[in-house]
Amino acid sequence: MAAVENLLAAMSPLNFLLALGGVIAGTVIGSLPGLTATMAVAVLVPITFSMEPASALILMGAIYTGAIYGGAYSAILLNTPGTPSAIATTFDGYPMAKDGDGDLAVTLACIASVVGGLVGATFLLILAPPLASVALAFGPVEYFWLAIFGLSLIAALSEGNLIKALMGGCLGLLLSAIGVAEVSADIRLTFGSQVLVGGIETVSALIGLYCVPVLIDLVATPDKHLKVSTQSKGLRLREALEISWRGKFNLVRSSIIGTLVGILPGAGGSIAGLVAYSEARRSSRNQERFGKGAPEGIQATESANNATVGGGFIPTLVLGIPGTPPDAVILGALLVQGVKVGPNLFTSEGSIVYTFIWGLFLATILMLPTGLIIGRYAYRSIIAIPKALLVPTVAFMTLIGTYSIRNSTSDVVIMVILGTLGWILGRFGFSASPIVLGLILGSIAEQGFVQAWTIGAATEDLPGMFFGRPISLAIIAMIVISLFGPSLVRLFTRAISKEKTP
Amino acid sequence: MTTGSSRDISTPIFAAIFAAIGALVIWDTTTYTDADSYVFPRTIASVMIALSVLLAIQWGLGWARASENGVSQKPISQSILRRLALVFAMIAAALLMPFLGFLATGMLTFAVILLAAMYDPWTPYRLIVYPISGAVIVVGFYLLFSKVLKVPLPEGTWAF
Repeated sequence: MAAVENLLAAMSPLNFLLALGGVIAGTVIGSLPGLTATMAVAVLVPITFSMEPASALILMGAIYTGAIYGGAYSAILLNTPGTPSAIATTFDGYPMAKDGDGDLAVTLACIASVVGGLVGATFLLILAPPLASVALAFGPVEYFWLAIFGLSLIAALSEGNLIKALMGGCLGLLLSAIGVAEVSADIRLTFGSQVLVGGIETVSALIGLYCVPVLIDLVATPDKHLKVSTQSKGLRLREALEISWRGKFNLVRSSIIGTLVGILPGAGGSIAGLVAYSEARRSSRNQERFGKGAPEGIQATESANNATVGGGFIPTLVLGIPGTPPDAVILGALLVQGVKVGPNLFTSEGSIVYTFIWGLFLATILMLPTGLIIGRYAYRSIIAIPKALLVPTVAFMTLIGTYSIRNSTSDVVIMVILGTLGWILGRFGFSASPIVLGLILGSIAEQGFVQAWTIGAATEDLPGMFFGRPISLAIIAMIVISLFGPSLVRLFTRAISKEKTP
Repeated sequence: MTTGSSRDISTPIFAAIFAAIGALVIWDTTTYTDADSYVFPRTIASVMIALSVLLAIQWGLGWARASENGVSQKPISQSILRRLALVFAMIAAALLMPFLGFLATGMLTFAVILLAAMYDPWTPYRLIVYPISGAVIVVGFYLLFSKVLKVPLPEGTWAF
């Protein structure tokens, strides 16, 4: 009965409109080259603060899923991925468009995105509750190690230098400690500044770190004046459905890959898309067609990147560890709303979670008509929006959104400064994601660390407290594997190839 | 190993900056009264210093090229003024909000950033459409947040 109630709650007129509006807004923002899904969620998230948590989640989930799909338009029609998730969509999408099949490619991408989104949401519905039961066995020290695991994974998956990524994670953890300490009320790391006493507001910091660097880069380059050159031949829905049916195994396999990649903290749609694409090519009988306009390539990428939406929500809702960057923003928004994310959420606030999951199904299904219509009729107008209007609009949205969180101009200044620092650090190889994850996980990590430290000190067994519990040891093993596994595999492979070479 | 030309000098500088931040954090924690307050930041700061040393060693031994360090190869000088204009306009907006009010500050900021992002020549069409579009966007969001979402946006002490 509860499931039916939650389904009906998700289908209420308000939630239906929010899902529809979210998908449209997300698709439009995602389709603009340079604006990412994370940015779409970040600039629109302040609108959700006055809503019920379930409705807010539905809107954010709809924006997210729409933005991931929206990236496919420009990937296919302009050879420019609208979002990083659509990088692999360009490989076959653009060749199809050049051959006059751009409409078919967009429709295929839409169908694949819907399938991927539905598979991801199904995994979220099936996997999250039992995982939450398992997570209930976690104590403070396990949560500390879990937070470190999240950071180590994102560091390992980040492009560039592993040490720099770990340093970024540490910086994020320290940023989260600024302000009044929760337990002892000591004022920390403010260096006499009254502005910092209230701490760094997480969502405004995320808006800064994710949006401001993009704006700084957008303003520095002239408009590309993108124009879609292919002639429209209609939706070609029947043809796309037939191709999709023939590629159903590819769709399901890629969706599962996307879901699994989404579960890994920090790994988003771009990694999922590339992994699914290479797997689709590896297992295809027509490998030579990949890169020249193979529909299977588009199906693999688009189903995988949209499946990360549901997959990413699994660690986000179960453990409070964001699966993908947009999940980090959504997690921050839930903290603002006072929703305590974690395994207890499924029992204490079950109606919120399940209403949201059904809402995600609804938003994903709504993506089919809206995605096809926007792709067919509105996309040419969307990309015609001049940068001279786009940049100030997004900048203004970051200002009003940040201010509205705590009605604080200090937060706005901190947001801009953090964003500018994020841009500078980004240029020198320190990516934003580890800093953001450190900021988000800081309170979980500190709470777990301090509690474990206190218990360990009281029982005079600090090493045993941190390294003596079975679940902790398992998580530590995963941390070691995530950090050193890739290097060890590389060394091993190099040693084998040396042995083989005479 | 790497050649001198492909080595970047930013990595040791940032290693030093991060180590200094770590040292500053540890120094700050000496003023805290409760162990619960300092144990976590002190540990993380120590780890950060250790990582900074590792990064410096890695650079010193030439184990990573600039590109492997993730250092951007794009020139920074291009449109630096536009970038600065954007950042200063956003900071100025935050500082002026309490005095000018949100609406006037929003209009002003939008106009400055529009100018910073404008590369095309001003035609009569753009001269009319862009300011009107900007005004509609600013007023639209102002009304959404202040009237629909009930966010108390600053009215401004110098508002007229």
